[in-house]
Amino acid sequence: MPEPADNHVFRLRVWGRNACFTRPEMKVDRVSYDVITPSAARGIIEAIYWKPQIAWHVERIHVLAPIARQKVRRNETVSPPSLDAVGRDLHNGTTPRINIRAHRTQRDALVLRDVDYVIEARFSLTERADPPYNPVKHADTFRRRASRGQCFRQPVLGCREFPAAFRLLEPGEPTPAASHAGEQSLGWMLYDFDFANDRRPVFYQPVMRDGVIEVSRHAAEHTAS
Amino acid sequence: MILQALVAHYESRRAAGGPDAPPPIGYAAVPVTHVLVLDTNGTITAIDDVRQTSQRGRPYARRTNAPRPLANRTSTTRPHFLCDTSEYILGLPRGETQNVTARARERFRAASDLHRRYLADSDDPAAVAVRRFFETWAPGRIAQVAEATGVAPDDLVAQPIAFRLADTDHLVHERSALDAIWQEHLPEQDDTRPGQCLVTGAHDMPIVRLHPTIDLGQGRQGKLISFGDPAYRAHGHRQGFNAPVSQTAAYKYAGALQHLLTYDNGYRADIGDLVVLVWSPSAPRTHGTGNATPSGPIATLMGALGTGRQPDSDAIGDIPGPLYVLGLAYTARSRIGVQLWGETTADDLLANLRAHHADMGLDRRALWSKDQPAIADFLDLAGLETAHHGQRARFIGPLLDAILHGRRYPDALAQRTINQLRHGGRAAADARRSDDASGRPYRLFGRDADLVRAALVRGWLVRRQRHAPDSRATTMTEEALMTLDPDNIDPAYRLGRLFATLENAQVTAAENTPQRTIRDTQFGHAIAAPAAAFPRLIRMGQHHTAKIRRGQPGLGRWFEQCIDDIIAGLHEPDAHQPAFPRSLDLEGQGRFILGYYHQREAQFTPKQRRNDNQAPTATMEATQ
Repeated sequence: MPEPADNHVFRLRVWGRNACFTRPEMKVDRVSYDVITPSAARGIIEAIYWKPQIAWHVERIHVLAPIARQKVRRNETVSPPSLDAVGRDLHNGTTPRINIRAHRTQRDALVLRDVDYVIEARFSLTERADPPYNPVKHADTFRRRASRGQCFRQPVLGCREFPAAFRLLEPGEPTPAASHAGEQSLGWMLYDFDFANDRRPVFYQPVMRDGVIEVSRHAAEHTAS
Repeated sequence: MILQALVAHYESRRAAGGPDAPPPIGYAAVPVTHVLVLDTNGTITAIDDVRQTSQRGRPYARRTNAPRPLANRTSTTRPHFLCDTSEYILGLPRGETQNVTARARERFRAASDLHRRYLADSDDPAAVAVRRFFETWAPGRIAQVAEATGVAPDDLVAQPIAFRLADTDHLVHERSALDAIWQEHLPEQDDTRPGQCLVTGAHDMPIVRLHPTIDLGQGRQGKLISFGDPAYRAHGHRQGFNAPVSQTAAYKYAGALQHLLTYDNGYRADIGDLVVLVWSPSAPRTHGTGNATPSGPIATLMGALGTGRQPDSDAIGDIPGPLYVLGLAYTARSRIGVQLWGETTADDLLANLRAHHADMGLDRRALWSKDQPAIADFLDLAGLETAHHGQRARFIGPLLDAILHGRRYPDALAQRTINQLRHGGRAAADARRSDDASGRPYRLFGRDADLVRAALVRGWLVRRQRHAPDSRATTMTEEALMTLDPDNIDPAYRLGRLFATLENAQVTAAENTPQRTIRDTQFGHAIAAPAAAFPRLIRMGQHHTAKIRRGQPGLGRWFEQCIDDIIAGLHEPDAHQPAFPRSLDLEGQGRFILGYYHQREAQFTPKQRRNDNQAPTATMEATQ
């Protein structure tokens, strides 16, 4: 696929009061990863602008705020609504319902608190792109939407109940300093899902150096197999 | 990082060896009560009772590392290799009804098939013996064996059994030849699929569908990783395939958790319902020998955490490197949930414990007539006694998290504590309840219970102040919060001080020490609606000071001066009347309480101060 002429890396600052990048193994009583996953970062960018003609790649993540956790306990239901049941109700003309009392459970969540990241990402054109290949158009559209705060859906920090605020950093603007110093290994984290292969989860082992995670480099090292 | 830290702990403990090392891969620590001693033909020559006796003389099973698959056995028939209940090994039914005996027969058959299959090709004498046992044994023979060995069949019902070859000193499943057989068959024990393990990152590992059960003790068994209900699944994956963990990694983290959860090993402290585990890759091993209290740096740290006291830093010594803190609790529906996770260092932890004491003013010995409060005491005194277990569980984790990391104390806990303080007369009730078997704080703190509550409020305000965003306007600095600040103009604070002064006047004026003061009757009203309550309180106070002045003019004037000074500070700059707020928000109520206690601390009258060398005077005592 033809690469865009300007391989421009956009820098988007996102922040929010709470975030939960749920560890797959602690999905019931949720425990969040220490930092944002590339998958969640991609989700935020795609919420601002995405079309089948482009694919976003997260290059780098800056972790600006210290890592702090907060525990919440919420009442939830045990099963999601059944599509069949909803379909039947609509067909019969009755209002679809969920019986909360019959299916309730309590779930804890160990979420992050006061997060602040800068996501550096670039896009490439996909097979769905038609000639004439015009990456500049997409770049301009993203830049415009991100600057204005436009999005298709509310960008979120992992879970939909944790909205993300965002701001595009201008080309000359320096990236804010991170509050982390030194090198810290983050263990094995979710990189993203392999949508080409049965939505299999792929893991990578990032290292945070002075608050910066070189996502693309780590991903290349570990997902080559 | 949680699973990875556990796996690393497992590996380091296995490498270190020793009797308390975690079980090897493919094994789990299980109880055993009886051992069948076989001769080379597979005949039972003896049955050993291998139970030990506890301190109180009660028998308990010995533990051994037996071959076990990861997933728990449910009610379906599924035999274990070489170490199982008598139902499987001997076909001994657990009762007498038809169903039960039929089931025992079925289970014996299954065990027999499994052992004959696995042991078919081995020529290890023990393996041969066990195989021959299963080839020749029929459940009906139990009676004659019982007679020959002197063990009653009833003793064996539903007991876990293991094998030993005669003239050896170890159990059959401890032999290396049989371990080799088990390892060969290990991959087929659990339902797996290939994938990338999220703990080790290795590709093409067998990913397990079902995870092992973790036992926190007292019947709290559940899974750390489970996806039982439909709401927890994603992308159409079933069970464990939602979170790929390899079979090896699962054995390791489960083994590590078992090791950490064993009290004797010195990593565990139970704070309320929360099980807190603290470990470090580099700490020297702790030693627990039977009933002796484990010593060692981690155990000392745990003790400090649990009681809330200052740890003795010499006993802790030097633990370099990271320190992991994991808090687990039984949440619901057979789940063990992570309530607390922190990666810190021993130095940070100690510093934060010290900061906790300092922020709450707990280091001021003068205030405590008895023990220092433990972490669980704060919860009890906020009205979250053990009876209200559901609510209590919400708060332990966040409180501990605040202490460990030096962050803000939970607002909800402060709110409950302030509520308790508002209901005056609590102190008398607390003292009465000291005879009650429930609740340590009442037993130990009695009249000091309110002081503990006030300490929590103080700590909450201090940390709120410290971590406040810069934009927030603040009326009281951190220094002001720590000790009496006569010049501070914060209205809520001054009102608290006023209340304390008025109460002191009331007590001083009374001929006989009153059982109930305005602290018992008016505190709640004053803190909730100052504008309504205080005019009347001040009027009453004037009666009291007048009465004092009749008897002791100097003292009376002193009281009036105190009251006037405080009220003067309540004035708006150009108003003639003092401004009483109509109501106070939560933080204002906290400052009111703080003012009240600061004033009480500082305000002994000159005469009381002279008398007060040993203990609080009669007047102060009665009002607490």
